[in-house]
Amino acid sequence: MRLADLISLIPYLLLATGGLTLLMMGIGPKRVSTRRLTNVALVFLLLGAATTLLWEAPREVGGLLVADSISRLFTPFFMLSATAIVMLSTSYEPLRGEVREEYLSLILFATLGMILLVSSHNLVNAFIGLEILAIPLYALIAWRPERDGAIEGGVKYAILAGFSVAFFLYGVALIYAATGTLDLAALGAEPTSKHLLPVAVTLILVGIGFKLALVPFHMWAPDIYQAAPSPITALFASIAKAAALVFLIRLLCLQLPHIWEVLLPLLWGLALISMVAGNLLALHQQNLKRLLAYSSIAHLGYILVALAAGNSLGQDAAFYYAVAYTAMNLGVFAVVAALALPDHDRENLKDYQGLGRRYPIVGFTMGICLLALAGLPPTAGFMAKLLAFGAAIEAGHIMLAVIAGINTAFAFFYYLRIIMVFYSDKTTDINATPPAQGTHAVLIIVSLFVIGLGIFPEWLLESIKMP
Amino acid sequence: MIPLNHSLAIAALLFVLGLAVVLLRRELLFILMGLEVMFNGVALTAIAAGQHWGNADGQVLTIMLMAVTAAEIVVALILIWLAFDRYKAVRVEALTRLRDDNKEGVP
Repeated sequence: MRLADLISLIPYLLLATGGLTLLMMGIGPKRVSTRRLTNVALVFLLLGAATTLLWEAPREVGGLLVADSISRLFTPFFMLSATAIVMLSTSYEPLRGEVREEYLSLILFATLGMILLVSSHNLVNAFIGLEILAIPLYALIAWRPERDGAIEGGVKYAILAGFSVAFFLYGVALIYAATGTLDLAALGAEPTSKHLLPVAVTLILVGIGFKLALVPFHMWAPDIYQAAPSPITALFASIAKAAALVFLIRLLCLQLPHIWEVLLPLLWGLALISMVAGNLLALHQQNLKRLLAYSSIAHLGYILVALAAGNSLGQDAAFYYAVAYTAMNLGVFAVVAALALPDHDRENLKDYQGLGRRYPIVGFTMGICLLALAGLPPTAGFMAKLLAFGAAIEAGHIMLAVIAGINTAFAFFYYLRIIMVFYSDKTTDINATPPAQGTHAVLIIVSLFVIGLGIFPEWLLESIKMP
Repeated sequence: MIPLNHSLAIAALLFVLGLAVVLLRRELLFILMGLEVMFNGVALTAIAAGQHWGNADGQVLTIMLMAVTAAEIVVALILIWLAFDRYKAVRVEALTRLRDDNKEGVP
């Protein structure tokens, strides 16, 4: 192993040692303060993000990991988002005193799983990344089991994640049976006339579809979003989904011609039904977390519209949308976490009445992120939709682009409804402690990022150009 | 030597059997067992393919699969035990606290 290989591995090693260090800090005779534990976790995450700057892209390490422009963009992005989630967790009231060694190390391990998944060049490696990402989440959903519905959410996610991974693995095993290789690059060079391959890729698509909560595999999403503590919901809705999505984009970008013929109608169908069903289910929803869960299902439908285009514009659009989607969802769930009551989240929309006026920064972030989700310029959400639908039109999928456009217009209704509740004249009389400093910092950075990405989309599009 | 197609067919049967258990049984523990049967179908596929291609990748995949799914089942079992401990729930129907809230329409 050469020095450059070792440098490429530093972020992974840092996260793994970070998680173990945090666990070790818990076994000493003296109780370490929560602030110190948080600082250690933050240092490891930020250091890991910084060391990706040393990478010589593109580089392949041992045929398992690849440090190309995409992993170079998403690795630090995921680590910085995880930093935001740690900050939100520390000032999240219902978990007060619970954000200790185990919680923080599980977040670090989950982040390790994400960065393994986005930079994997081998299907076994991708499977391990997927599982390192999923298993800590079972525990994190059910954190403080006495919370209402926490255990139920944990059980549901554990069973459904196991179910989805079984499909994913069966697909991987069938790819191996058909081609004799697990390497993604070798797979791309394979003659694709083998009849097992389309079945295998479809099974992988089902497995990833469960992780992404595409309709008809979406049943778990609203339940889990509601059951998990809000910072964990933020992790779920943003970076955990983006990691699975980036892997899916990588897989579909192999452009295997025979498989593509089979996949195209499938992607078409999934995109269409996810958009329509997500928006319809969100329409009359009163529970804010569930509403946002349905809206994120619809957003993954829009991303599939870009992917179904199958051209390079669609690929760029999907990566851009993944980043924008992550930032927007991080923003809205950070607001939900910031406004939590001492023992549980505010659930019904009525509980949020007038809070935008009472806490200006929180209201501003919510407004920006919701307008971005709805797709108004100059936010990242507008550019993402423009690129995605543009890619679909370029590929000749006019019908799909039109339906996506109609859905976007439709979605305005419930996004604006939330903003109206936040800025309504009547103020809710349920009081709670105002959001903490760290939370405010996260909110401001996320909303500036959402606007900045919308005004200057070039810097992201330049950095993901495939070599 | 057993032809690849035969072992793939048996493995597919095992996978579908597990799938049927997961979809048809309502007890949480049976669902976990069904998941294990699905994983075994995958492992059999990987082993058979490894023998067919004459390289170790299939066996590596199987060993990784065994280790990772063991870890997964451990956490899932703890959660199921917690569900039994708190709600006395052994069946899926007992877990229905999380649901849509559509009652009031547009505010």
